Order: sequence, then structure tokens, then C-alpha cells
Amino acid sequence: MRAPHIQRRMLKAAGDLSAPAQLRFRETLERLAAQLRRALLETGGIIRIEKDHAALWKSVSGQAIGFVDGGLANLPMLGSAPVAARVEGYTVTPGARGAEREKFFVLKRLIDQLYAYDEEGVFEDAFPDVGALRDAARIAIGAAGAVRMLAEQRGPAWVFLRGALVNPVLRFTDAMRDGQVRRRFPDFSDTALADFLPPQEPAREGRGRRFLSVHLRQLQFLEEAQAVVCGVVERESAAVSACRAVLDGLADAPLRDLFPESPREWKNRFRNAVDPSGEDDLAGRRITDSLLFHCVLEPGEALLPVPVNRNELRRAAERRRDVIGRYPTPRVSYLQVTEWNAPLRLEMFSKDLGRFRETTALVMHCALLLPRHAFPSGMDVAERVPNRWSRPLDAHAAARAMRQTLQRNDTRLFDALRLMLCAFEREFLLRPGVYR
Amino acid sequence: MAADFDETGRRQIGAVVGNAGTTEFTFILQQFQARVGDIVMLDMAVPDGAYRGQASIYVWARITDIRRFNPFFPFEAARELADEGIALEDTVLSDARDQLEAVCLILGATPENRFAALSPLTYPVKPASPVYRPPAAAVRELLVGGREHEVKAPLGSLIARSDVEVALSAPRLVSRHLAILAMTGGGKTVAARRIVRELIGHGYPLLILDPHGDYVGLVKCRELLRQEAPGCEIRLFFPDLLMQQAGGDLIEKIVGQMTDGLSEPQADYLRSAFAGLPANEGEPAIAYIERLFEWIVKELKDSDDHHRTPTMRAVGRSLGIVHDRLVRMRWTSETMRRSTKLGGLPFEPLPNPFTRPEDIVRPGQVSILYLGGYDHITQCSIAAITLETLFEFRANLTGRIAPFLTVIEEAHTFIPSAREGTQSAVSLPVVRRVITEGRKFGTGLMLISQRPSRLDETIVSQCNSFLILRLVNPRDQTFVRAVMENLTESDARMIPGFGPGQGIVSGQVVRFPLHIRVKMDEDLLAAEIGDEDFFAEAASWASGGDAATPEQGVAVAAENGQDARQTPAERIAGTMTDKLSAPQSASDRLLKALDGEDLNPLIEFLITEYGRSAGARKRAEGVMNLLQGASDADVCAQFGVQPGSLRGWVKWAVEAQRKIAAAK
Ligand SMILES: Nc1ncnc2c1ncn2[C@@H]1O[C@H](COP(=O)(O)OP(=O)(O)O)[C@@H](O)[C@H]1O
Ligand SMILES: [Mg+2]
Repeated sequence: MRAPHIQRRMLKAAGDLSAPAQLRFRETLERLAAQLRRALLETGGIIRIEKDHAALWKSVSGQAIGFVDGGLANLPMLGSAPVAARVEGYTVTPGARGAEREKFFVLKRLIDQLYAYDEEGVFEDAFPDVGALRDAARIAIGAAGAVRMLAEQRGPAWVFLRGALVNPVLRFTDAMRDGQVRRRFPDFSDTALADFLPPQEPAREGRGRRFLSVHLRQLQFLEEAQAVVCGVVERESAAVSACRAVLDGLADAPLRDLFPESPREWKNRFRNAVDPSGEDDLAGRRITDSLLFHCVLEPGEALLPVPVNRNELRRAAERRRDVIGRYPTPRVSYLQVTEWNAPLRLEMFSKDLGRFRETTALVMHCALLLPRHAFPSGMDVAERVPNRWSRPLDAHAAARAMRQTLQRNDTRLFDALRLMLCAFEREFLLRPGVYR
Repeated sequence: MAADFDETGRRQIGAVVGNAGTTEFTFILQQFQARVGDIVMLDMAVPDGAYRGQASIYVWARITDIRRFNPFFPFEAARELADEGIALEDTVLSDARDQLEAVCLILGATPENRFAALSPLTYPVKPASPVYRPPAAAVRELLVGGREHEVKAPLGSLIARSDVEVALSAPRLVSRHLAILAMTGGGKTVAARRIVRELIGHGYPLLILDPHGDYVGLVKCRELLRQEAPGCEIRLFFPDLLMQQAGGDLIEKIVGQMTDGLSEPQADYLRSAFAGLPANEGEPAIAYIERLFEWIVKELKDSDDHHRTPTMRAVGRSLGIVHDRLVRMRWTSETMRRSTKLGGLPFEPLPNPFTRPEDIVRPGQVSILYLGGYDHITQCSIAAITLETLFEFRANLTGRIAPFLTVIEEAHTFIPSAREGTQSAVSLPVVRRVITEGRKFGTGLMLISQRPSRLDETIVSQCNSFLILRLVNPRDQTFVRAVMENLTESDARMIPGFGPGQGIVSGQVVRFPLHIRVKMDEDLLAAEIGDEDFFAEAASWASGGDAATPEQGVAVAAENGQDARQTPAERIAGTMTDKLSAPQSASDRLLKALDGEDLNPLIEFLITEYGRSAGARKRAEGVMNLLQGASDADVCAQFGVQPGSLRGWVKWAVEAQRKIAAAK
């Protein structure tokens, strides 16, 4: 069918299937991609962005652009379990010269510093789903990076967040058993609230201190901003939600002459083929959005955004619906930059749809400069630098120091040390002031 | 991180990263805090001698390489920017996050309180250790550690630190051997003059073999030098080729090299002539050849052995050619000394080294032997005789002359590599002997060359010290790597990038290899003879120079008691008709084309060409040799050119002569 790199990706997606199943998977993918492309072209669902560096950079000259990358950090000598959440920010003004052109910040917190355990007291009694605590911390601190940028006096005109703009949040609620709250999802600590929320927020009490409420406020703040806030996801996921949303959004009329079957039948067949949970040999073998749009889109093309609701009301517990219902539904698009990269998934608020084209063009030109970097500012570079940068500290010395602080029973010192030690190499690269 | 000085006056400039060892480590350097060549230090704890506790030491290292990289600006981004013709600053790319990574060669370790005792590091450097830039005084102490009481010859400063002087050990300099190797313009002569000046200051006897007159200008700085070294003498000598006692060998070699060579019977006959008519020690070679020639003419007349007549004639003819060339060279030398470039300088004939060696080697005296005007064969012969004679006076331990240092400029002339394919230079064995035995007798050498790869490798590798300035020719760089065992790869890579006067000094004259910026003695600039204003000279050209005419040259020859108007060859021209049967050489063509012309202006012109560029100098020098009758093969070998180039040179010279004549 297409270029070899797509073939390679398809093989990767279907490599562990039996030979006939592989063949079927590939045939299905090719057929679906071709059909979807026809449908989208027919309905104007694909836009084309011309590569023109000179014009693009001229158009954004003098406007600050922010990039935010949040994540988890671990203490290399203690293993790979994350102990801290961090967010890094990079603001750059194209066309500017001198020291003001680039600004950076790093915010890093131990995960347990972010939650208030006072009521629970002992750690063992804490919330059982440690993974949920970490993810919530990661999501909140990432959004906090964007909040922080936009709260500035003359904030950026664009903020690009690495990752989804709106995440599924239903996990981050109390642990239930038999309709009873077994373990309360912990409140955020005062530190966390100060870090995460916009400045001059009224004090929060009770549920207001929980993730659902805090993160909602973050998203609202981002949505209210003048700037375009856009999530950029380069990682492949198993999601097929964009494909479903596209199908849902396709008007029937233009499709009538395209396919032998009726638009409704075609859409149903399409949905089943993308997610063939019924068939044995293809069980669970979804055609992910990323793979599908890689085949649908040509380089320089983007899918016109479609709404993808990650927090469906019907799945939320009754008590949470007031909050969940206010979570925004992002508009999701895929952008194919070059033929050898998987398409980038872009997520925006619906109010920014009018600026979709220029934003996508900006992302595309950023990504063209850094084709091997997923996130278009190159902030993921810290994950790519050779290993010689890691472990600049002697593991023994670090462990000894930690033991000493523990023996002194000084928890603040212990925390400070842990923070200092974790993910040192990342800091190192992202804090330009360090070695100046 | 603030760049602050700690209580010992040092300043943190970075921290060790990655795998560190006992010979090398890498550190992340703060911006603008150090340069390649800089000496850095760090603190370290090592096991003590008994492995019971720890000892604190300082580790000293030299930065050999600094890499600057911006992990946020990968190669693809650079290519895209270049393809699109856009500037990084106009995009979202970051240029503020570049990192400096410095690679260091560990020099050794010292106790914390005594930097003089530098010993090898036997325990690896610890990652994350802070790296410091030590105070100048500490580096100075490190550089001279254990040599505080030696006489020093300051040469310059560390490249990266102008506040740290680098001085050579003068005793090791004069008793061992130093090679200064660099391409033209690298700063060899400036460095050599710097060293010479220091040695003058200590009254050490010096002999400088100066083929191009790079040092003769020192005489203009005599008063200045006398302020530093009261009573010092700068004497300029021009040579004459003199005979040694068993000098027949030398004549035989010269005859062989200046002509097409002697056949076995011819050589036998020449040797019989030497036996029949031995040379007087110190007798000018020209005079001796004339005596030989007369002796052969007489033999020819008296002989009735018709079989031997052609051999005798051939030998006579060869001697005639040699004589011709020697006379011509003496005349060229004379002309050059009278040229606008050198005119007025107090040249004196070189004292006879056999009878008056103490006039050449004398404490407080610099003897500059100007070899300009002589071809390489003769330069080698003069150098060989002078050096060997003086060396013998030291080696026989009679105490007749003081120890001395010989500076050999253009050393590739005197000790050419066998690979060069030239017939072995007569000076080669002499220099070899001096370099192997010189240490015993106090006859040090300073070899200077811009074409190291053309030097005899075994001789150069016996130099105990090296000053390597900029070298770009790959073969020269390879040569330097081969002869300098302790040259590190990173140092070797720096050599082509040095600026004038920048280089590496290593060997016995320093404690460890250093990156040095040679001090340029501005006040010795008067000695820069080559940098005259040729425009001014050209402007006043039509008024005519004050150079010697051939008539004057002949007059000089006549003063020396010879009738140069008629060469021996001419005197027996009638008997030597076979001379013309050889194919015409470039030299012959040139001389024929210029027959009857006044060559003075041409020679003046050639001399000005010397100062124009390296290429021009080569051509001018080549033509000069052709004017003196050098064979094609010799000129090609000397200048590393193809025979075709000689045709070009001849054409160029003839045209120059036409133009000069037309301008008059
Ligand atoms: N140590 C130095 N510092 C500054 N400039 C120098 C230094 N050494 C040489 N130069 C410059 O380079 C030129 C050539 O130097 P020179 O010693 O004549 O080179 P070489 O003998 O290697 O051909 C000098 O005229 C001077 O301008
Ligand atoms: Mg020179």
C-alpha cells in the first residue's frame, strides 16, 4: 500500500498475530484508511498546511510561545518508582534577541508533599491506589505549569502542553466498596494548592481541596485565557475515540454516493472493524487513532478537530456529576508532519477553534525543526540525551546522606534531599542558569 | 552558581561528570570560565600509604578540549534552518541552553601544601567533584616545582592564562636539544629570538646558522641587548668554504653533488690528485680547487697515457664547474649583503674555525653566520665544516672554547630526511654526532624547521624538548606525532589551529607539556629584516639600487687574490669541448637566455620576492640556484617541485628580466 515506514508501523501493530490474521489486519487497515480519507475529503474534514518557514515565523514574530512539560521523577538510586512530580516551562519569543528571548522554570514536588494526610495520620492507611495519586499529581502539576505561564503579566500567546489537554479524571475519586466510601481521595496540601491554582484564589475548604475541584479550576483558568492553550500528544495510545468522534460527526448526505452501503451501515461496520472485540483472532486488536490517521493523512495534513469527551457524565458517580459535568470537552485533531513520524494529536478548547489553522501551522513548523523530537519544543530532549549525563552523583554518597538525614529525624531535610536527588539530570539540562 | 573565590584564591568553574579515571576526566564548565590549555585543579581524598586512612591531595589537570553543545538544537534543526535560510532566533528553538563540556588530561597530584612534588595520580577522580581554577601563584609554583633554583629562560605565558609565565629551564636548554617546528608564519623565528635573547642575557655563547638572514637584524638591537647584557657582542659573519685537513672527501662529495657525479675512475683520479696536492687546513676551497686544477692541467700536459686523458679532462671539467659555482655564489652572497635589505650591516668574514675558533664561540657573543647566496650543498658543507671543527674543540677536552649552543634555522636543509631523495647532505653525520654526544661536551642544538616531515627522523627524535607551533600539513603533523612520544591525541589535534606564537612546549625544558603563547618581543622588531617596505623600494626603483655589479663582484674576488674574470673552465675551454654534449638543463637555458645581461637588478628583484610570500620565496630561491648553475635534479629535490616547474621558473625569470630592462 503506502510507504515502507507505514508498513513497518502496521507490522509493529500486528506483528504478534498469525500470518493470515496479520494479512487481514493490514487489509482492513488499508481499506478503512482509504475509505475514511475519501469521506473526509468529501466533507472537508482534512485541511492542508503548506510548509513555509519564512512566512510562519514572521507571523508569530514578537509573540511569546510557551511550552509546558509535566511528568514524574524518580530517585535513580532508589529504583524507578516515581517519588516526585515536576513540570518544566519554556517560554520563547521568536524574533526577539537577547536575554529576554527565553525563559524557563522548573517546579518539582515530592508526591507526598502534595497531599494532606493529616486526618489519616499514618501512611499505611492512605489511599490504596498509589498510581492514581501519582497520576493526579502529574496531571495537576502539568496544568499548573500552564496556569503559571498564563498568570504572568504579559503571558504567552500560545501555550503548548505536553500531553492531553483534558484527561479522564473519574479515577481520582474516593475508593468505594459496596456503595460506601472505603478510602477518601486525599486533599491537596496547602503547598499543592499554592502551586497549582492561579494567584489570588480564595481559600478552599473540604471538597474544594480535592483533585476534581482543583483541576477543574485549572482548566477553567486555561480556557478563560486570551492565549490559545493546546495539548500535544505524541505518544500512541490504544484510543479509538477520535475515530468514533469523526464517524459521529460525519454528515450522512455527502457519504451516500461514496459507498455501496448506507452511511449508517458503513459507519457501523467501520466502528466494528476499528475495534473488533468480537472476533477471536483479532481480539483486542484495535486500529488505534494514531495508526489509522497515519494512514489517512498525508504529510502536511490535519484532521479538522472533533469533540472527544473524556469524562462522560453517565459514568460518573451521582455525587460527582455537578463537577464532572463542568469538565470541558476538548476538540481533538491529528496532524501528520512528516511521513516517518506518527501523527501528533492536538487538543484545544472549543473557543479556540477559530485559531485552529494557525495553531496547527505553528506546531507543524516547530515539529519540522525537530523531527526526531516528539514534543515540538524539544523539551523531551532530556529523555534523549546520552546516559553519560545521568548519575552525576555518587549513589553511595547519596544513600549515605539520606540515611544520615533520616537518623536526624528531620523530615524537612529528608524531603529537601530527596527532591534534590531525584531526576537530577533532567533539571540539569533544563535549568540554563545553572551553569552560567 | 556564583563564580566565587574561596579562601585559597581559587574559583569553582564546574563539576566532574561521567566516568572519571586516573588519566582523564570530563567536567561541565561554566560559561566563560576557562579555555583549552588552562590548568585546573580539584580536591580529592585518596587512600593513604598504609590503607588505614585517607589523605587529601590536589589533582592537577590541563584542559585539552572543550566541546560546546546545545542538546536542544539537534542536527536536523540546524539543517532545516540552513535549508530554509531562517535564523534560530526567529523560531522557537532555544539557544540559551548550550553546555560546555571540558575534557582534561590529568597532570598528576600534589600534597595540599606543596605543589612542587607532582606525582602520578593512582586513584580515580570522583564524579561530581567541584573543579577549580587555581590562582596564578599556585600554577606558577606547579610549573617550576623543584626547579626553583635553575636559571630560567622566560618564553611566554600559558595560552589560557596570561598571568602565568612559562619559562624554560636554561641549563636543560643549552645542554640538550630543542626542536622548534612550525609552518611558515607560525612564529618560529620570534620564539627563537626570544630564547636567544634570554641566553644572551646569561652571556651564553651562541652560534646561529642563518640561511635567510632572519637573525642578522639582531645587530641593530645591539644597544638594547647591551642594556640587558652589558658587553655582549652580536657579530655577523659571512662564510667562505674552507678546507679541512682531510678535506678531499668534502670536495669529492661536492663535485659529485654539483655535477652529474663522478665515475669510479674519475673519483680515483681525483683522490690521487688530493694525495698529490693536499689541502692546507683552513684554505679556501676555491683556492684549493684552483691549485688542483692547475695540477691537473700540468698532469695533462705531462701525461702520455692517452687512455687516462678523458678521465683527467672530465675531472678537470667537473672541478671547473664547481669552481664556477663557488665563485658565483660568493658573488651572490656579496650582492645580497650589499642589497638594500642587508646593506650597511657590519658583516665580517667568518674567522677560520680551525685557527680562531674562540673568535666564533665566546661567552657574551652571538655569532650569526649568514648563509644567504649559497646553494644548499654549499650551505651544508659550510655548516658541516664549521660545526664539526668547533665540536672537535669541545670533544677533545682541550678547553680551547667555551660550551655553546648552535641555532640551526631551516634545519631541513642541513638534516634532510633520507626520503627526500637528495644525495646525503654532508652536514647530516655532523649534526647526528653533535646531537648524540653534545650533552657530554656542552654543545646543544636548537633545530628550527617549517617542514618537519623533511627532517631526518632519527635526529629529531633525539631532541629532548620540543616547541610545536602551528602546523597544517598532514605529513608534518604525522611526523610530529611520531617523534614526540608524549604528545597526546588532543594536543596533536590542536596543532593546526594555533595562532602565531601559540603552541605546545614539552620535554625536559618544562615539567610537563604546556600550551604556551610565546611572548613577542616588540622591541626586537627592528630585527625583522624581511618586513621592509617594498612599495617604497619599488617606487625608488628606477633610480637604481646600490647593489654590486658583477664587476664589483669580480673585484671582490680579485681582492681575495684570484682572477675571477677568467675561470679555470674558461682557461682550458678549448680542451673541454665535450662539456656541451649534455642535454640542456634549466640552469643552462636560463643562463643562455640572460647571456650578456646585467643581472644585478634581477637579483635585487629576486631578493624582494623573498619577502613577498612563501611561494614567491621558493620560486626566487629556485631561480637563484639555477643562476648559480644548480642541476635540475637538485633544485627539484630541494624545493619539492617537478621538472616542469623549472621551465616555468625560467620563463618567469626571463620575463622579469625583460620587464626590468624595459623599465630602465
Ligand atoms: N608570539 C607571537 N605573538 C604574536 N605574534 C607573533 C608571535 N610570533 C609570531 N607572530 C607573528 O607572526 C609573524 C611570523 O612570525 P615568524 O616568527 O617570522 O614565523 P616563522 O619564523 O615561523 O615563519 C610575525 O611577524 C608576527 O607578526
Ligand atoms: Mg622564520
